Amino acid sequence: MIISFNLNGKNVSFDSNPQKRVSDLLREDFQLLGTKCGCYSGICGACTILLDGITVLSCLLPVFTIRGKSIVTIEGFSVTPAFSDIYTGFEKGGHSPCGYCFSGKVLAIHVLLENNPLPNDQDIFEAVAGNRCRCDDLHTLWEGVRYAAIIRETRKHGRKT
Amino acid sequence: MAEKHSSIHAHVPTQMQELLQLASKNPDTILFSGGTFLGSTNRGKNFSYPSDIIYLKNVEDLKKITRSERYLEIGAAASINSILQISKRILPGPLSEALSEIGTPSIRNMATLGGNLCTPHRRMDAVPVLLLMDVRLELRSSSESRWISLSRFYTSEGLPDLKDGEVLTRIRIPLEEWNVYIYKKLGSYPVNLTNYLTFCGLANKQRNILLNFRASFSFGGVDIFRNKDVEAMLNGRKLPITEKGALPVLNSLKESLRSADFVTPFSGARAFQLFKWFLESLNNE
Repeated sequence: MIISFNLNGKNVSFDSNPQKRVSDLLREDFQLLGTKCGCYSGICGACTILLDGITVLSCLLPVFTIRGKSIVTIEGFSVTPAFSDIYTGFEKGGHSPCGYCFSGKVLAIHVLLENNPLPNDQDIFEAVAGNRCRCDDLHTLWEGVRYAAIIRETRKHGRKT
Repeated sequence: MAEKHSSIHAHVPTQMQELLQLASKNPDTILFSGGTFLGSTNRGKNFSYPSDIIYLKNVEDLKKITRSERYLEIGAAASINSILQISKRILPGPLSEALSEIGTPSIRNMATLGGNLCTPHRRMDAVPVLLLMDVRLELRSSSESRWISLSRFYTSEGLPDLKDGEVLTRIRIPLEEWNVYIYKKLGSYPVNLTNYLTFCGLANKQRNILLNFRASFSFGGVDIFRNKDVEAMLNGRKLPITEKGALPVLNSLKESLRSADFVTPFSGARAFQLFKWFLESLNNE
C-alpha cells in the first residue's frame, strides 16, 4: 500500500504493509528512532507523536490511517523554538526525563502549553498521564513545565507571566 | 478508495454514501474507528487485523457534533476529546466525567464514542452512563436508516446488534438536566478487569423530592447492572431518606447484586458501598 503523508514538514510516500504500526514505520523505514516502542498496547506513551497537531500513540496506529496526515516526531519537533522552551524549562526546573519517556513527555507538554499557556499542577499531571516512566519526579516536572510556560510566553509575546 | 495488499483490504472512504455502499458490499468487514481497543489487544509487532477493514475517520459526517433544543447529536467517529470540548453547559455532566476518565489524553484523541459503544463483548465506559440517559442510536445502511434505543443495541451474546451493511452513524442524547449525579470508576482497564467497576447515578431533586433516580454499574467492562425496581423504590421519595427508610432499598439492591452471576462478592460489595454513598450524598446536598 502506498502511503503518502507529511513527515516532519516533508511530503513523503512509502510502500508499506498496511498492517504495520506507525511506530515501526517511523523507526524501521525512516530511521527516526526518537519514537520508542515500549508496550505495543498504548499504555506507556513512549511512542507518542503529533498527528495533525494532537498527540497520538503511534503503536496503536496502522499505517493506512495516516494517509494525507501530518506527522511530527521528536526529531522534527526538536529543531523548533517550541522545543527549546521545554528543554530549557526542564533544565531550569531540574527535570531530566530518561531517553525512554523524553520524546512522548515533551510532545505532550508542548500540546498542553499550546492549549493552556498557564497550566496548574493538575493540568500538567493530567497532560503527561499517558507518559509513564520510572524516572518520573513530579516536583521537578511541575517546576520544569512552569519555567517552560514562562519561557514560551516571553518568546511569543515578549512578556513574563 | 480501497487499497489491496496481499494481507489486507483497507478501505478508506471519505463520504458517507461511499462508506455505506462499502459496508453493504462487504458485510463481514471490520469497521475501524479510533482503533484503540483493537490496537491494545493486538500485541504482536504487526497488527493481525482481519483481511477486510473499513476506516471510518476520514468521513467528516461521522465526526459532526450538532445540537438542537432537545438533543445533542454526536457523530460515531467523533473523538472523545472533541466531545469533551463541547461547552460544559451543553455536554451532560455525567457523560463529561465518564469521557474524561477514559484512558489518557492521547487515547482520548484517538478513541471515538461509536467505538466505545460498539466494542464487541465489552461495555466500555460511556455505556452505563448513556444507558441511563435514554440515548438513541442511528444505524444506517445503503438502503435504510433506523433509530434504536441503546438498551436494545446489544445481542444476548454481547455484540452490537447491527444488520449486514449497517453502520452506527449518530448518537442522540436528550438534553435533560440532572441536578445531582455521580460517576465513579474503580480499577484500571485493561490491567485488572476482574475488579474494574464503574458506577453512574443520576437524579433530580425538586423541593426535597427525589425524581428520576437512576443508577447503573459496569462490571469488568463487560456486564451492565441496573435494577429498575430499586430505582422505582426511590423515585418520588421525600428527602432526607432516613437509615430506616433506605433499608428496604439497600436490601433489595444487595440481594439483586448477590444473585447476578457476573458480580463477584468483592465487586458486589464495592458496588453496594458506592450506591449507599450516593444515597447518603443526596441527603446532604
